[in-house]
Amino acid sequence: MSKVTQRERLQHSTARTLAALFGSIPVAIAVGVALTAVLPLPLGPRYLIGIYSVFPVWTAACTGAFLARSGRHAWLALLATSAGAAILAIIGFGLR
Amino acid sequence: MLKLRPRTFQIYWDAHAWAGVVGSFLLYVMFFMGAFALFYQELNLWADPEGVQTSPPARAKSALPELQPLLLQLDREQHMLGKDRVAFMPEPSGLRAYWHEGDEHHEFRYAATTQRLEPLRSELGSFLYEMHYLGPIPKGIYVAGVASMALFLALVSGVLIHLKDLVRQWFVFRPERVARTWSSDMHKVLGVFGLPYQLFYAWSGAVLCLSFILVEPVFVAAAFGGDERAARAVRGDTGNAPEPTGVSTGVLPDLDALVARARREVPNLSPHWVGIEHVGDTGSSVTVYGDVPGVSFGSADVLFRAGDGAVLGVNGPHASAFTRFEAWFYGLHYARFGGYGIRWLYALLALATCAVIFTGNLVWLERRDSRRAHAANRWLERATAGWCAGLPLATAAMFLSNRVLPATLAALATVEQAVFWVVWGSSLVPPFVWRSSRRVAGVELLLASTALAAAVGIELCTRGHSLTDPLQRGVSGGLLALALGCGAGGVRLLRPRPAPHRPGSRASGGQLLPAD
Repeated sequence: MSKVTQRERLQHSTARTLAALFGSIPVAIAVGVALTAVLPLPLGPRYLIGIYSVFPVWTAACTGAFLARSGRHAWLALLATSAGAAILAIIGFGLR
Repeated sequence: MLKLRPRTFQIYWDAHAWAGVVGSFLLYVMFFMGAFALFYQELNLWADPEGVQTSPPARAKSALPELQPLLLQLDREQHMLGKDRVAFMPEPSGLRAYWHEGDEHHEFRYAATTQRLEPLRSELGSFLYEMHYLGPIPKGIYVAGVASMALFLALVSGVLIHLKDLVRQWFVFRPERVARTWSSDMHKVLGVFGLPYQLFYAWSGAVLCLSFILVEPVFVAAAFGGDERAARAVRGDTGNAPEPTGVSTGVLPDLDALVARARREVPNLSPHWVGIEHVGDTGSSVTVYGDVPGVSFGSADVLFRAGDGAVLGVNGPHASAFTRFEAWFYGLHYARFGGYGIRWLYALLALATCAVIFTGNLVWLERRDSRRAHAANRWLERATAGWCAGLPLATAAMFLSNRVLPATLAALATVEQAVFWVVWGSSLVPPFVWRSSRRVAGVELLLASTALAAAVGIELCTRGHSLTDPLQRGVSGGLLALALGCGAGGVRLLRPRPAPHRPGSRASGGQLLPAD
């Protein structure tokens, strides 16, 4: 298989790489804050889990985004996850 | 075991390779210096002309002398009122102190013979420790945080691509095979062996370097409405240090009385950091921080108002789940357990990780461009050789300069650090000038070995306590072991290689990995 064919099969693109590396940062922070908001625990442990989960979640989001079909798909998925986590956090903090 | 689909496997392969090669240079420095950072207190003492003349009993006696006379001595000689921070650090290897104002930072050590604080002439240990988090370069700590994230990504993608045969990689090492194979084997064996260690350091490194600037402000804003005090209270931090007012009282606190009071507040407290913030200000505070024996990673601190000695907060070893988790998290990162055995193990794992990083770059070169057809890959090969072999050489030159330069030299620390930078910078050049980067790396490693052995030799010949003092023996032994390791690496790289066997291959003995 030629390199060009292989590259097409893998759908590598700058947009997807940027999404995976940088778009995953707000996702990780939003998910961490959402965990702090919604976990059924006292505030201390919730805060602890939320804040220390950010970098593992970043890695998970990043590796996940690399599998997207294109940069657009990756950005959309990350934006949707960020928005979902942010809404969850707002609801979670609002209900407490 | 889980086998990835070909497309997924190839994407993670690329992510692993790119994250590894992009972060490799910085991560190599961070792990190499991490091995020294574990012993920075001992190295500071080994390197200090006054320290090496202090006998072990005198040093043990100096671990916690009365602090007030030392504070008054500093105040007489350098006017402590108005300084941002003055701190005393009783350590098993002796007492250190420093004061800090703006960009100005001065360190001292307690001389048991004179019972005074003397300026620390060499900061060798502290410099190597700061290099661990890239402290000496501007904004280096953030760069180190980004490198830790790159490591995290490289490790997770590496695990994913080897999920199908992760256990097998643990045992497959074929040193008799061609260089491409054994280097790939070494990359995987040491990578799998050190995986828990590397994963933890990637995580804790990212948290230590980036969390306070990237993550915590968002959490404080979102979860606590921007109230930092509320966030600190949830973390278990009960005391709030007063803000400086700019109004001076002109009075220094009584440190020994406050240390005694802290020991009453937290029984068994063994202080290892006593600091005054905003010295002489009406908003000045004193913190006594220390270990609590008998509790795993047990630490506690007591916060006082400096003016009247009122207790503002006590954080005991069992303050909260948050405090306990962080005590474990940072305790594991800084190897605050298990004594010297664990620290030697950590140092060994750090150097093994350097080998993983180095062989990772070699695997990149061999798998992607074994003929070095692309200029970027030729550059990568040469830079890897100069960077990775040059760093041990520069460190060794720093140790040697410490022993060769006159002990009375006032600017000893500055000269040592200049030697480090000049030697490392010079080491980067030869691989780009000579054809064989492999041989250049070999020569640089042999030079590093010679310099380290010479530093230890001078130490043994000139210093009184070299063989009787466990601290001097330990440092010298560690440096000798490193000298042997560098020597073995240098000999291996300089050993002639058989001619290439692969039909059509034009790889030569000049490559880091000839296709033998």
